[in-house]
Formats: sequence, structure tokens, C-alpha cells
Amino acid sequence: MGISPIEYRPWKGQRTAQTLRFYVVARNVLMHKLRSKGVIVILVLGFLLVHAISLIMIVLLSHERLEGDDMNSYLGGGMFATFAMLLAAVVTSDLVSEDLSNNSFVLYFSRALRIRDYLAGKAGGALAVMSFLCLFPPIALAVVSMATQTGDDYLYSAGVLGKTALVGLLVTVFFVPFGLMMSSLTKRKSYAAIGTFMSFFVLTLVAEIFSEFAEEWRMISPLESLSFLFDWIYEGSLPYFVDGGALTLILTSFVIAPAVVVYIRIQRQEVGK
Amino acid sequence: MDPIRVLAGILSLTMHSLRKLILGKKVLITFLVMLFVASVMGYAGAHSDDSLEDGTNLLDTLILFFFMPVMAMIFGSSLIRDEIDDNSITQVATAPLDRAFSYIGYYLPLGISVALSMVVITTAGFLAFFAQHQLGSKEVEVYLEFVTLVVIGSFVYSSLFLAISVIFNKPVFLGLFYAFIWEAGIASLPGVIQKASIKFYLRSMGAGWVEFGDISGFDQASSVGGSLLLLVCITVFFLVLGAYVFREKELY
Amino acid sequence: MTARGYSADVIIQARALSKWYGQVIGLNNFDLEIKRGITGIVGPNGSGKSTFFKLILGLIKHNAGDIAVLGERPWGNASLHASIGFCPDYESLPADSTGREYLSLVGRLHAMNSTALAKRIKEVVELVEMGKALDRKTGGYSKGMKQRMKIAGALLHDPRLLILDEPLSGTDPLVRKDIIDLIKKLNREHGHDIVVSSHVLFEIERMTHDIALIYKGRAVASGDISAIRDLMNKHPHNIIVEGKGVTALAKMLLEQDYIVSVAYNNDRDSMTVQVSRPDDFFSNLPNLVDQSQCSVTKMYSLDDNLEAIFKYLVGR
Repeated sequence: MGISPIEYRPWKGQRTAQTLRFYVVARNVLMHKLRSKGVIVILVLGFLLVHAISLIMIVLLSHERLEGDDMNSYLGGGMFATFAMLLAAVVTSDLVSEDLSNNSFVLYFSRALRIRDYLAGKAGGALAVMSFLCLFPPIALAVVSMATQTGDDYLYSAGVLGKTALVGLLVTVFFVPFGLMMSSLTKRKSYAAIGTFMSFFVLTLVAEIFSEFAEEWRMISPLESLSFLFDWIYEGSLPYFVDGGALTLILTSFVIAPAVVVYIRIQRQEVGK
Repeated sequence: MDPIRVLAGILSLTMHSLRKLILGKKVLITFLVMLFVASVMGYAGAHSDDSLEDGTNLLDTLILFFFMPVMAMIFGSSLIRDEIDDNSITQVATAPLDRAFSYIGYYLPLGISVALSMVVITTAGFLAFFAQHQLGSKEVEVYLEFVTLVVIGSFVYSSLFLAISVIFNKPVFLGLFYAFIWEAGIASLPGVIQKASIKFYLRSMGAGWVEFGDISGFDQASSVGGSLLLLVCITVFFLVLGAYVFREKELY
Repeated sequence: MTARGYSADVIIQARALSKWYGQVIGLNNFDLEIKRGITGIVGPNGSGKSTFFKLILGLIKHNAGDIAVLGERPWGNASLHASIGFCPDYESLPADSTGREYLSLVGRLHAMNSTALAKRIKEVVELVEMGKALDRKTGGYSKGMKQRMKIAGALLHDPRLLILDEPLSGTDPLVRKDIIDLIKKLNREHGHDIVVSSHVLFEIERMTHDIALIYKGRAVASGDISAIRDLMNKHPHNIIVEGKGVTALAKMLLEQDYIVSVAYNNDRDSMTVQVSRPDDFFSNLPNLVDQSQCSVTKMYSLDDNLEAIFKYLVGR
């Protein structure tokens, strides 16, 4: 005798593969970030101050081939890594902290979504945004340089292009786990941004102070470590006080340790701790 | 408006906010920073040959230059903003106390707690470094001079960051910009741009008082008295600005 | 800050009051006079009740028109707050403070001295029945406890006028009854003028017969509730009844003259009953349930009746 029976029809469409579930989260993060004024400002400023000038110089100045030295001084100057750090702080600050403050984990984990899908999605979205500043512009610049070179040693230039892609990829990846870790430690995204920024700044300051006593301390500064890495990739050599193994360990620990911390934090949230 | 009522209101807000700042979660930040500064200065102290010069430079670089504005930013950028965001400002906004006076009730505990924090951090750093050498009258003099500078700096920076927290909806990012980009970067460049920072006038005062380290050779803007007066004017300016904005601010 | 042209027995007067937030209109040419006693402000979510209260308290500034509270303009008039106590609908208690610390802060902000304040806290806490939880952190309070504590904060300085914004929202029926009784007592025995808002007409009805209806930023009607009730007779009230064996109940309901229609929902354990006289429905329901021997497990009002009333009033 119902006047207006509620019409419910269960959805019988095809479900996406479990492995692709993180894609939904990643796409959501990317779309959200591309609408954020702060992110757009940093992307534009970063592009103008870091990449645009170098691009103009490369097009205007005659060059025989793409040189590793040139790319190293363009990317290793400090501004590139600083903007990457800024962007990472802004992009990652609310990724986990907002879910913490809104208790949104129940939204994710009551679905068929695992922690690794959630983290992969969040990191994937952040990495996609980071690549707009850290990966695509250097590659584009290297390609333009190759296209405008006067010599015909394209193989050498391609090698440098490959190194540039590697450098871009490493910088894209480098700052995101730390930013995610900071985001997972607080419910306020502004504190997460401060924490990320301050941590890198403090490490840089400590490196500066301690390097007066021993040069090796410079490796604890993320910006300096990246600069040494660029030297290693482009020129195949490191300063005398930098041990390759120690540098690799420090850089890896910047990435892996925070990633582990985030995973543990989310795991505790998942079981309601 | 009854002055006794006004004073009572300011005092009650001061005590409440002071308790919140000193006994709240931010004390953990003070503790962590204190440990960090003590470790860094302790390590440096163990390797230093010229304790007065190196110790003074560290107090200048680490505490006055870096942690001073940072701590004021952490404490100040969120004091009023947090209360607006979580609506606990309703108690203050619906009290029979003009909001300009309420603003003073926020500023006083902020200045006091930042100053206390910085004194603790400075003391820890000083002891960690100089206890490994000697603690003579010169060292104590340097300590007292820096403590005075950080106390003055606490009240000046607090006025700035409190005003920022009231004027802008996202004060932390602007605070970050001022502390890390402006003071640490742009206003550190040589030239007249330096005068557009609070740090410059603090260092000018330091140059007039401290006899050791790079700070003693700092190019002073004016006399110690002149720099102090300017800092007082800056503080009053931000206080008046912040109080006015807070009074006219709509609390949705 | 005295406003001209306002009479003494009118505690709040709004004339052509408008407030907008960018593109969104909060209040639109709002006209209302609130007299002494208990007045209910009723309107659906987003109708402008909270905007109106914030204008009364001077938390926000009106864009057009005029408003007077106790004969004075509220914006930038902090001294008026000595006569007003406010219980907001949102969470406003500082989570890290205990109830006692919260009330001490409020009292001191109102320049109450220590001895008088301690005594007053005790009185007020007894009134709202929060004595046992006074020294617990407010972050750990239940919704009902928070509402009581907010009311305590509003009463502490013994204001002439109490503004209570949705004091019953999110509370269970027992707590609702307690708060309603408290509100009536505050007016009857302690002489406070009270303005209380809700989006549920029947809750307000239990407190007062003087109401004002707000809809989409306008005051669409004000006065005695009986006049509103007459309007409601033209707009049936929908009530969902769920339980076992409600078919028998449905048959008995259809024989009653205040029933407009009965319809099953998803299944025969749930039905929607349209009534023209809800009071008669609720008073007769226990007997009918008993006679039909059914078991009612759930019953709630859709209350979209009020929406229809508002639309009707706005359309007139």
C-alpha cells in the first residue's frame, strides 16, 4: 500500500581492481591541490625564479651540446631545492592532518582500501603536484637545450637528459615522505607545514654551525646533501669530506624513516588508537 | 568604561591565557627546543677554542637570529586564531570588556610566555656551552646581555605575530614567511633592506652592549637608546593595529 | 549607544535589518519586536536564527537597517554584554579547561570578585545540575553536559536577557525535558527574559506561546502559537511509526478524524501517518497501540510540516 516506495537498486557494475584503488585518492589529492592558491603561487613563483631564467638563457646562448655542468649549476644552486621543499611543505601539510582532525579514516578504511592504498594515493597525488615543479620543467629545459644545440653529439646530450630526469625524480620524491610524516603527527595543517619547514631549516642551521668543526656535518643539511648528490650524478665525483655510502644512507633515511613513521601512525589510526 | 572592570577583565584573560601557554602543549616545544639548543651548543662548546667569541656567536645565530622569531611565531600566530577557529573566543567576545582591552589581555601573557621560554632556552644553551670552559664575569655579562635582548625581542615579536594572527585568516603561513624568508633571508642581505627587520634593531642594541663575537662589530643603526625606542614604537604600532582590527573584526 | 525610538517593554527590536556574507544573505529586511518573557525563534536550518543572535550580541555587524537590544545598539558596545547571557549552538567550551575554570574565566571577565564568584558558581551549578562534573575537563563532557555548562556560563553574571541558540539540539529526551523545565523556571522564578531558538516547533511550544517564525532570512510571522497552530491544520504533519504488527494500528488510525492518510514505507513494519492534529494523535496513540496489541519500536516526526508552513507564510 505504499504511496512512494523507495526504489533501491544495488549497483552491479564492474569494480575496479584492488591495486587501482589508490588512484582514486591520488586523483582527488591532485585535483584539490591544483585548485589551491598557495600551491599555484609556489608553482608559478618557482617556475619563474628557478626555471624560466635558465630556459631563456639556454635558448639565447649558443651551445654545442647539453652539458652536465650547466644542468648542475642550474639545479644545484639551492633555489631549486628550496622551492621543492616549500612546495612539499604546502602540498603535504593537510594530506593526513585533515583526515586526523575530521576523523575521516573511517571513511577510507570502512571501504575496501588498505593503508598502503591510502598512503600510496596521498603520496601519489603529492608526487604528481611536485613533478610539475621538480620533474617536468628540468626535463623540458634539457629537451629544449638538446633541440637548440649546435653540435651533433646527441648521444652525450641524451645521457645528460637522462641524468636530469633522474635528478628531477629524486628531488620530486625526496621531500614528500617527510612532509607526510609531519602531517601525520598533528591535526593542524599549519603546524605540519611549520614542522616540515622548520625541520629542514634547523638541519641546515645545525649543519652550518657544526661544519665549522667538521665539514662532514654539512651532509645533514638536506639542501647540501642534494647538492652533493647532483655533483655525484652529473660529475661523478664528491667533495673530499663526503663519503658516498654515508651520503646514500643519509638521503635514504630522509625518505624511508619518515615513510615508516607515517605507516605506523596510520595503522594506529585504523584500529582507532 | 569602569577602569576597575577593565583591569579585572584584562587580568583574568592574562591569567587564563598565561596558564594555557605555559602549562599547555606548547611547553613541550619549549622543552624540545631547549634540549636541541643545549645539544648543539654543548657539542660546539666541546670543540671550541675561543669560548667567548664562539659562544657569543652561537647565542647570536642560534637564539637571537633563529629561535627568537620562530618561538614568538609558534606561540603568537595561533593564540587568538585558535580561539576564533574553535569558537572559545565567544566567552571573550561576549564579555563586557571592549575588545581592544581584551587584545591587551592576550598580548601580555603571550609576551611573558615567549620571554620565559626564551630565557629558559638561552640559559640552557649558555650553560651547555660555557660550563665546559669557565663561567667568569665576562661570560655572565654576555649571558645577561643576551637575556635582556631576548626578553625585549619576545615582546616586540609577540606584538607582530599577534597582530598577524588577527589580521589574516591563515597567520601561520605569513608568520613562516616573515620568520624564515624575510628575517632569515631577504633582510639579511647587505644594504638598507636590513633596516626593515626587527632583528636589525635587536642586533644594533647588541652591538652597543656585547663586547665579543660578530655582534659586537655589527653596523649599528643608531644608539642603543635609539634602537630601543624604535622597537618600542614598533611594538606599540602593532599593538594598536592589532587591537583596532580585533575590535572591528566580525566573529562569525 | 542608545538607540532612539525604542519602547521600554521591547527588549529587542529589528527594523529592516539585513546582513549578508558575500553572496549569501543571512537576514533580509528583517523586522521583529521581541517583548519581555520567553520568546521562541523558530526556523529551519539556514533560516537566519544564528545570524540574528550574533547581531544581537554584536559579534557581527549589520549591513543595513537597525537593531536595538535593551534600548542600545549592540555593535561595539561591550558594556551591553553585562546585561546579556549567551548560550551558542556551537561548541565553545575550552576543551582543556574544567567546568570550574571555564566558569571562573567567564565570571572574572564580568569583573566578579572571588568570593561572590565562588558563591555564584555554586548557585548556578546547582541550578543546571552540573555539580558532580564541575572539576572535569569540558572536553570529556557529553552533549547534554556541555549544553548545561554553556547555560551556566550564560547565567553566571545574572543577566537580564538570556539568548539561547538551539539549546536542545543533540540532546536526548530526558535532558531536553530538564533544559525546558530550567528555561521555564529561569523566567518564572528568576525573572530573566529569554529568547530561545529551535527548528522544531513543538520543542518551543513546550516553553512558550510567543514565537517568531524565520524563513530564508525573513521574519514571516510572530505572535501567539495558537495562531500558528491554526495554520498548521491546513498542513498535515507526517509521523513515521515503525514496529511489529503496525497493520492493526493502521486500521485503527484510519478510523480517527485527525488522520489524513496512512501509508506503508518499505515494508509492513514501517508506515507514514499524516495527521492534521498532532496533539490528538499523540494523546490517543498509547490507547490505540494497546488496543491493537502492536509493538511500536520507533516513532519520529518528519516535521517537514514546518517547511510547508514557512512556504505558505512566505507565499501569502
